[in-house]
Amino acid sequence: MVQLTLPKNSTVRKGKTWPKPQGATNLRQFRIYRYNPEEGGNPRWDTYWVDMDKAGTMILDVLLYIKNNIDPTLAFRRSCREGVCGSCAMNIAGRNTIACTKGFDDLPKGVITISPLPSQPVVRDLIPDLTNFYAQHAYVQPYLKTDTPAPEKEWKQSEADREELNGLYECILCASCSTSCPSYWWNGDKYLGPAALLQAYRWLIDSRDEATGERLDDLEDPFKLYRCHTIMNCAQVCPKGLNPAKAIAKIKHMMVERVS
Amino acid sequence: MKPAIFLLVPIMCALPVVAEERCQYLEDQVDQANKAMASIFADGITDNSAPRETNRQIKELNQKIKQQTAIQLAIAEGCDTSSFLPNDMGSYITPALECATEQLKGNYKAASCEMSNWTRSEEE
Ligand code: SF4
Ligand code: FES
Repeated sequence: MVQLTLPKNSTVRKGKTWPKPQGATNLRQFRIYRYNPEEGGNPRWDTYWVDMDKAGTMILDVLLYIKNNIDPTLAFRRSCREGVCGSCAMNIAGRNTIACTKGFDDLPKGVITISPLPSQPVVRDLIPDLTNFYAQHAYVQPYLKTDTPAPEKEWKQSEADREELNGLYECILCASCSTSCPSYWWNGDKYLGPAALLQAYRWLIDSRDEATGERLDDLEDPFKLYRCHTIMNCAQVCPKGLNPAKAIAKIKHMMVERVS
Repeated sequence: MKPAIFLLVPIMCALPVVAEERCQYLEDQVDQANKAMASIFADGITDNSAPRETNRQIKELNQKIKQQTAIQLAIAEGCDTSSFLPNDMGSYITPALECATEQLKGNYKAASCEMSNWTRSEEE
């Protein structure tokens, strides 16, 4: 039988339970993943009690409440606080999403767990290392590529052609989709993942782009595109309501059509 | 296995009727895939949810791959593929929609769903 050894520091231990705020009547329990590589040791689940009457309405508000009132060492990324920058993606109650648009009302009853996006190395606490994810995004060359000289004013596009980009251009690169994909967990170094492939299709289908063949060539191997098995976790979790799996299927159509 | 192939090749060459039947069979495969794609499209008219829409994309993709395989085999058989019409589900949209409408009424065995009776609608 195969013997598997878990990597060092991979077991999450029970951590500290922080005291309940005094006099609060509307308390909710949060269990948050904590890891600081500088301290060494294993990651841990710390327990926090939050006064929901004071914390605001979104999960990001809870995290800020904890950081400001209970534990200033808690680390997480955020910037826009309105679902535009993609920085605050994390796993909340077992599901990847962005913390700033995730309201309490959507969450199940009981203890809420919050951990970093799965399958990526952790920089600290809720901050994943997305170096590989960004490199994959760069690989698909997410910009207009043309041979014809640039027009004086702008590259024009018909309304119908512009319509093709809907459901694609809205991606905020939060990485919720790719890090929820079992195929990406397994082959994240070779499979580009739903987010990068959604962007690949966004440029493949752009009527102004002139590098379609080259772009398809860059995806033509057993891993980069074809490790998508239409598991659909990506579409389930995308906080912007996009469907990367459909974009991937469309790229596969383009691959077949160019051979026919 | 080699001697069997060695024998098969001249037999096939000596029997042009069989070769024609093979070519016809492969052309029919391409046409059936067009009908299947039209049917997949029509099924989606009333349900555009992400999983179903994606599933339809994959089903349609499989039909395209089937067409590609049939054409490659036809070329290998020496068939004239100029009459093959891949990627032509548009010609069967009308019967496909008729069938989907009947199925929405719960009439799953409607005569209009018998694909072998579907005829190609001519371009205007
Ligand atoms: S497709 Fe959705 S989940 Fe994936 S990176 Fe873009 S916004 Fe995030
Ligand atoms: S903080 Fe920008 S998306 Fe959440």
